[in-house]
Amino acid sequence: MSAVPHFLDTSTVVYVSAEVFSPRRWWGVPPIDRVGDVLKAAGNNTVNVSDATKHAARALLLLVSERPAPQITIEDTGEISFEWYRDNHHVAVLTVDGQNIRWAAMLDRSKPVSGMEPFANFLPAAALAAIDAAA
Amino acid sequence: MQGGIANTERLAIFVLDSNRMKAGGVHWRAFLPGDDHERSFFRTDNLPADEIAAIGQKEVGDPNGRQIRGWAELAAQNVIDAPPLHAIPSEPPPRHGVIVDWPAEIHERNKLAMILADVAIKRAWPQTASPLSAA
Repeated sequence: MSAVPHFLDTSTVVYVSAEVFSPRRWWGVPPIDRVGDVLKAAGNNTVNVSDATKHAARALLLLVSERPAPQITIEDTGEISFEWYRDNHHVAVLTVDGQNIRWAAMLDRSKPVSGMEPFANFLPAAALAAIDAAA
Repeated sequence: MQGGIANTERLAIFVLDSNRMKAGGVHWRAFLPGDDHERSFFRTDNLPADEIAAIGQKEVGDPNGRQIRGWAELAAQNVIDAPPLHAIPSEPPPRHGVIVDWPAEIHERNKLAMILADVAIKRAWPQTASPLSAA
C-alpha cells in the first residue's frame, strides 16, 4: 500500500521518521556516571574491582553530591577512593570496597584522623567532617 | 637514631610526576609505599641541591626514563613521629634507605602518608629563580 496520500504531489510530501519524535531522542541523555567514566578510563586496571565496590562507590558519590566533586581513583587493591584536596594540611580521602568505608584526612596542620566502618549507604559523621575540612 | 640513621638527618623522597608537586607541597600520594611495601628515600645531609638532584636523576629518574620534578625533604625524626614507620638504610645504591612497617589497612597508610606530607618541605627541580636573586 502506498504511503503517499493520493491527493498530494509526492514532491510536496515530507516523510518524517517517528524516531525524531521519540522521547528518547529529547530526554534520553544518559545520566552522568563519574565512577563509570573513571573505570572506563582505567581500562585493564579495573579487573579486580568488584561489582559491590562499584555499587558502593556510586552510592557514596550520591551521598556527597552536595559537596564539591572529589577526585576519583581506582586503587591497586581494587578499592575506589574519593579525594578532596585543598592543600597538604586540608585533605580527605574516603575509600570503599563494597563492605567498608575507610577514611583518612588532615583536618589542619598536625591534625590527622582516620577510621573505618561497615558501609551502610550513609556517611559516618567523622568522614563528613573530614570532607568539610578539606573541601 | 634508627638503624644507623640519625634523627636529625635530612631525607629526600624524589618525585617524577609533575602533578604530585603542588603549590604548597608534595602531594601525600608521593609518600605512599610501592608494591614492595617500602618508600624509598636518599640521605642528603651536607649535600647541596644540585648534588641531591643529580642523585635523584641518576638513581630514580634515569631508571624510569623520566626527569625528576623535585623532592620532598624530611627529617628522619619526622618518620619517627609517624609510628609505626621506621627509616632504615638500604644500600646499594649509596645513601639509599627505605621507610618500612607500613600498616596493612589502606586508610592507615594514607593517614601516615598525609602526616609525612604535612611536615615535608617541597624542593622543586629545576629550581625556579628567586625574585631576590634577579640581576
